[in-house]
Amino acid sequence: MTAIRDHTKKSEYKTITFFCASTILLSECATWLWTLPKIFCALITITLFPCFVLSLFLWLNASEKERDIPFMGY
Amino acid sequence: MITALITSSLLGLLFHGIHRKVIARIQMRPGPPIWQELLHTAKFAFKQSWIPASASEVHYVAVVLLCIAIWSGALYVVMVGGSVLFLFVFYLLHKVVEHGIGLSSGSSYGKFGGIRSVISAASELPLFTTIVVIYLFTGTLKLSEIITWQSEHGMLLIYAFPAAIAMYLILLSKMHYGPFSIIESKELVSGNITEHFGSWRAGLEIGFAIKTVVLLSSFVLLFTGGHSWPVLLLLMFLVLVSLSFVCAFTPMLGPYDAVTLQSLMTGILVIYIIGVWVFI
Repeated sequence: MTAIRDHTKKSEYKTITFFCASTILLSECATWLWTLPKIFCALITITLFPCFVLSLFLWLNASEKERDIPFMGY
Repeated sequence: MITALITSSLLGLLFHGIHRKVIARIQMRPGPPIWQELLHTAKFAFKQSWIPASASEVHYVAVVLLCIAIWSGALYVVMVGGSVLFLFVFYLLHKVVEHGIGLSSGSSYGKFGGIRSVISAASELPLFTTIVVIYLFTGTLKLSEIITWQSEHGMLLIYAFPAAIAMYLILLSKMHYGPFSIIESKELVSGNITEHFGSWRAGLEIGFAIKTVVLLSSFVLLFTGGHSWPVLLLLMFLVLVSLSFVCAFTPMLGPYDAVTLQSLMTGILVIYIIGVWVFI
């Protein structure tokens, strides 16, 4: 049950990560094509970048596994 | 913008690694490799993450998002040469973040760190006095216009040296392992960030990395003017190394000593401001 719930969460984090990344990239492209003012692009990026970072990390983390990734050395 | 954010995150983490390395070498230790903070953040990103039972869930996550968002906003202000008042606002918001990180966890160590963050609010005053001095000399608060003023009149570092020292103190108060780092001192384990682990800590590390780049670049731009990218990076690096030297040689102050010193600096600057106002 826990594994299923974790999997659902992981797919949610994946969706949020891709949504944030694609929106940021689209706004950057729109700015390059002069269809979106730079300030709007900045607002979108500043708002979505924190969500992108956290959702990416939560998507990548080892919560689906039994243990953490072991220490790999320096 | 996104390129700048990613570059700043990586550069800031590298700067944190250099900071640790310099401190270690001065203290006759080998120290970690300079890319240690990058590995550190990557490690946290892959760690299991959950929210402690004692924590306020929304608050616990929101402060991490806010930390990254405010310094992303500050980076944008520096990039476009916006008003330094915005930088002051973002700096004040960071105090909310520091306090919120500590209080949201429900841990005693975190709460003590958060409370220390509030009592060290005096560290904001030198920034305010710095802004006033810069305005008295240049007649503007826009970073781009301050840079233009310096290209015509010379570096503000020479004209307003006490203000530069005050801002240097601000940078010092935000550096890890510094004399003013009372909110994360080791008698509180890791202070306000004790209970933020895994992905949450990795997010905070990204926010703090952008913060370091913003503070170093704004110091260099405000007091030495505009430069090409390599020169700007070199000057940021030199300021960072000087801060590391101070951190390595200075013991961590007690909470009340830290507040007293910062208030004293503000008092001296207020006298300096009155002098500048009268004579300019």
